[in-house]
Amino acid sequence: MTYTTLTLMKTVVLALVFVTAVHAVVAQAEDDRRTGATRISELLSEIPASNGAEWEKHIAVISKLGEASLTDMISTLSGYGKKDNTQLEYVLGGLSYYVSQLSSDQLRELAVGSYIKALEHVQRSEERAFIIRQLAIIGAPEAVPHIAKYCGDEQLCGAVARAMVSIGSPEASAALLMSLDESQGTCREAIIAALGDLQYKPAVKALTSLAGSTDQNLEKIVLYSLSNIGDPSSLDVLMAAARKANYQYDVTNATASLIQYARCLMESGNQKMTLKIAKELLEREEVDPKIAGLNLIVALKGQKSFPWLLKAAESASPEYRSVALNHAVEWRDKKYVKRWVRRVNVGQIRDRAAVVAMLGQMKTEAALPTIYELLNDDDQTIRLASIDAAWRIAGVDAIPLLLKRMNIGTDDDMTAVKAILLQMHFDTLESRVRPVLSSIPPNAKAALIDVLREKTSRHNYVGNQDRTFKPFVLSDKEVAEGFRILFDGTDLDEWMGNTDGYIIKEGTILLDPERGCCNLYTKDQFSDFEFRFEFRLSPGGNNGVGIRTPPHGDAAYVGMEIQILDNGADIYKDLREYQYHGSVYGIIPAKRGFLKPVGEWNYQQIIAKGSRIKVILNGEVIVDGDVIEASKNGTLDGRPHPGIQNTTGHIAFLYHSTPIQFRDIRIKEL
Amino acid sequence: MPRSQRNLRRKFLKQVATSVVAFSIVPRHVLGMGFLPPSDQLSKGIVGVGAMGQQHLEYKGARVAAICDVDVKHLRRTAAKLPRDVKTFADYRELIRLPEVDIVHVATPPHWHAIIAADAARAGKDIWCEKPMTLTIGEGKRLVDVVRQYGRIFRLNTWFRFEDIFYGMNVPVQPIKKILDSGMLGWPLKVTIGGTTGFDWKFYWIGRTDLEEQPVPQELDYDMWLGPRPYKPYHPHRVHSTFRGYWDYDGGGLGDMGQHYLDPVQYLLGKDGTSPISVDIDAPQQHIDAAGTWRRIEYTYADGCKIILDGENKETNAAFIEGPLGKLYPGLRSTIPRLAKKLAALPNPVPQETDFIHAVRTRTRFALNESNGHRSCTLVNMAKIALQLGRSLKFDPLSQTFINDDGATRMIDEPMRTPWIL
Repeated sequence: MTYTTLTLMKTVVLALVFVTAVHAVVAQAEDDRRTGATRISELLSEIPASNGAEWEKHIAVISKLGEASLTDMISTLSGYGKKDNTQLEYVLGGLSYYVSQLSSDQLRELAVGSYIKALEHVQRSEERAFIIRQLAIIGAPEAVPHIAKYCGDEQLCGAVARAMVSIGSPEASAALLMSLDESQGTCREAIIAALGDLQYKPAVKALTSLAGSTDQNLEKIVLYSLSNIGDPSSLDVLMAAARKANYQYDVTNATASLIQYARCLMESGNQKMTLKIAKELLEREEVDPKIAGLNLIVALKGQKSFPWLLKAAESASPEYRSVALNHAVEWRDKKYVKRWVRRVNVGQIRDRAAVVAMLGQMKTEAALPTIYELLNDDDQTIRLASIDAAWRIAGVDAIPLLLKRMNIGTDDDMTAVKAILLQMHFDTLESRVRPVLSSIPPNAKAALIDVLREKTSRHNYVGNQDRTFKPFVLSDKEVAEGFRILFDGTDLDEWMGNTDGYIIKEGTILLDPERGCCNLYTKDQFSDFEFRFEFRLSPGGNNGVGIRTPPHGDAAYVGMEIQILDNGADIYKDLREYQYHGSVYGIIPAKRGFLKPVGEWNYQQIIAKGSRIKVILNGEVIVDGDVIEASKNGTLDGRPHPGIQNTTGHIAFLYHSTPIQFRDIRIKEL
Repeated sequence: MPRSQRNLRRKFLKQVATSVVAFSIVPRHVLGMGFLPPSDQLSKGIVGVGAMGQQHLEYKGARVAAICDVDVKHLRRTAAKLPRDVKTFADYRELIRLPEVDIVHVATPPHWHAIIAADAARAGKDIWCEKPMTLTIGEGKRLVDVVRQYGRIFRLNTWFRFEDIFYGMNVPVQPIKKILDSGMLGWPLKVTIGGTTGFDWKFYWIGRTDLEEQPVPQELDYDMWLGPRPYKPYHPHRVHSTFRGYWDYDGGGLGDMGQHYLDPVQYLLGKDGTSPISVDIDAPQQHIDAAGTWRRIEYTYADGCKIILDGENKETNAAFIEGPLGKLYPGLRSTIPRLAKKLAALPNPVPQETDFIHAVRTRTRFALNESNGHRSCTLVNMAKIALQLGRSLKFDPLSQTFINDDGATRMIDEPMRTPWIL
């Protein structure tokens, strides 16, 4: 057999095999299409998926469709408003997003292949744009040649150019560059911008030849793209354009492009050219390019740009100075600090206060002696900056000096120090500030008292619920004396026990006996104290204040009870005197006649120190005695009162069947 | 801009700002503020005078010098309320070049925020920008760069991290911050944001999928309205008061309220310089154009802190913030005993600059600026991507890209329709 015959036979055999195979494929495809169509209509009726699992089931269905069926489905897309594509858009968008995660996968290939085929089948630009968008979402490099042919189509070139950027392959860039020459108008703009986004170096020459256009939009995009690509050969073009714009903003964005270009050069390691641009910008008279130039220098040279910062800090422009100082904050090396400090000391700087503030933000101890000294500067602004800086650097160690400043300072000094004290924890204030309270002048004292009050009284964060009353606040005197609030009208946080019966109403604690039984106790225990509160009785009202009592039992015996009683009421006319209002119940009787008429508020103080109990009602001392002494020969009620031996315990409002209200409750421990 | 005018403006600024680094604690009047005659007021230009822009007219401290809108009706209606000398523009690029404008307010739909704000920075203006800060994470990164590069002062227009009652919490953020910083609740923390903790996700901002093309009304420059986003046939539901329902311009209720709700939480958790490492979603499939609803979005940070967005109001027992040692509910109700007393004793956080006009005059960074604003907007934008993709995502807060997900990473930057670039 000759070689030729053999080849011929092979060809025949191959051709036969091929024909059979094509037949099989075509038949298979027809089959697929028929079953595919059924599957598709089912799919469309179940879309959108209500969750991920459901969507996975749909995906399984889609992945079993052949390319022909899927292409058919995509090809039924019809332009917006021509028919409702909702279901189809759900399926296709979902599919594109689904396969966008994968770089290679059978389903992804099926999707991409079908989109590419369908691109030829659909008729209108809107449908094509939709498909191009899907290929962009997927990021399909295999689509590049198929979409590139629309680069000159006014309706589609934008979508194509953006898709090329999303795809991002070298072939995508090359295809764009190929079509640049032939393109015009908006298509050309779109292609140029895409080449810039893709940073495609081979495009530089073509782009450069387009620069200098009088069409400002075109010029803007050309400069943008050249700056993004960052090729050294573009320097002259970009520099000239920025110069033409006088280094200001204009529609061509030339100055911004020059700056972006410098950053690209810097990233690619071209220090020399970056510096050249930065210096060019720095030499401008206008502030905006100067600022950009300084930022470039700092990014390029790091701390070696310190001399530029020093110089910038001398500038007449506060905007420019502030940029320099904001950089300076980051450089905490002693040698830099020393130079700033020296300038501040000799007054050889334009804005000393700003530099002091910068040193404060730097938190550098090296500046501290200077800053302490400046606390006494004649210039108010400098003093304020120093107060802030001292606190930032030295923290609580600066407190003695700051308090001293408060003693001799102006109102503004005082406000500034106050703001700092509020940044301390109450415990720190207690240990550092309260001890000096008695030894400072009234102005500073008032300020300190303000701070202490804010640190001890509860915030009223109950929102909008009840604004008809103002929460109780301590007086200056009480703050200074060390009182704290147990109830300011807003919450029962300090109380426990019968919080069902004792409720908050209009800023008061009201006992509503119907709601629940028993006593209300403070959460804390108190031994020696002065307890201040107001109360309002109902007619015939009866209650009592338990002191040094355990949180259970009859407070009058397991602790002590200071009687609260409308003892003018008819029903109480036969009382014994140790039952009068204010009495230490069963032990020490109280003076009668100082209660206000029922319905008015009474103010009462209970002072317990050791075994000595003093009760002051509406300013009148009604009890002042020693409970041990008084029960030496037996108690008045003849019953044992073991509670008088207690050294500590809770304070309680007791439970009786009559309503009563309390408010403005505060205490000082002695 | 003619150089002489520009220098005049600069000279004025120089005189006003006596000290350029402000001290956070200093009482305001000390720095020479408040006594300037009205003629020396700062001036602002507002881009976008639709519903949102109306509010920007009211913000105090600067005089309205110019307004801009792509809808002539908006422009006319607003101009009628303002003095005759207020200039009107259809193209923001003219407004930002006015020498007399010191501050540019960006009150357009979100797809324009980054471009206008960046161009304003390039034009040497300070910026007051609506939320959400940007439409994509990539735009946010770029905007941060530009604002820094030009040394501008930037504020985002949400404020709950420093003032006002924080929605369902019924209290401001500051006391909550003090409690969290004290460690009382322990760490890591879980924050739940949904109807049961008093935060409404506004699911009425959903898009329509059945829009039929309609003629563009004469008063609207629709091409300019679309700006950097792809062309889609006009329908009134796409624009103005209903644009939030479309991914091209925003992201539904999440876009509207997300940064209001999440920015304070980033601050509370001390995450201003970082982002979550993952976002998990439970949602129905999203349409490719129209934003829909979702059931649950869960963010996780590297240290284990979590934020749950509850879209179904399902978390009926959830605390607003829960830590291993305690829980915090609306109104500062808490499992921590005597919280109010403990709270009073706690140190106040370091004060921040919360007066934008003062920040502009003293060149101080605003409390909510381009960088923490970008980070809180990233929460919104990463969830938008997860919802669209229909899958949970892993994120690298350092490089600000998604991990092992090319499709998600492609969505960090959406290429823009020319001639718009960032």
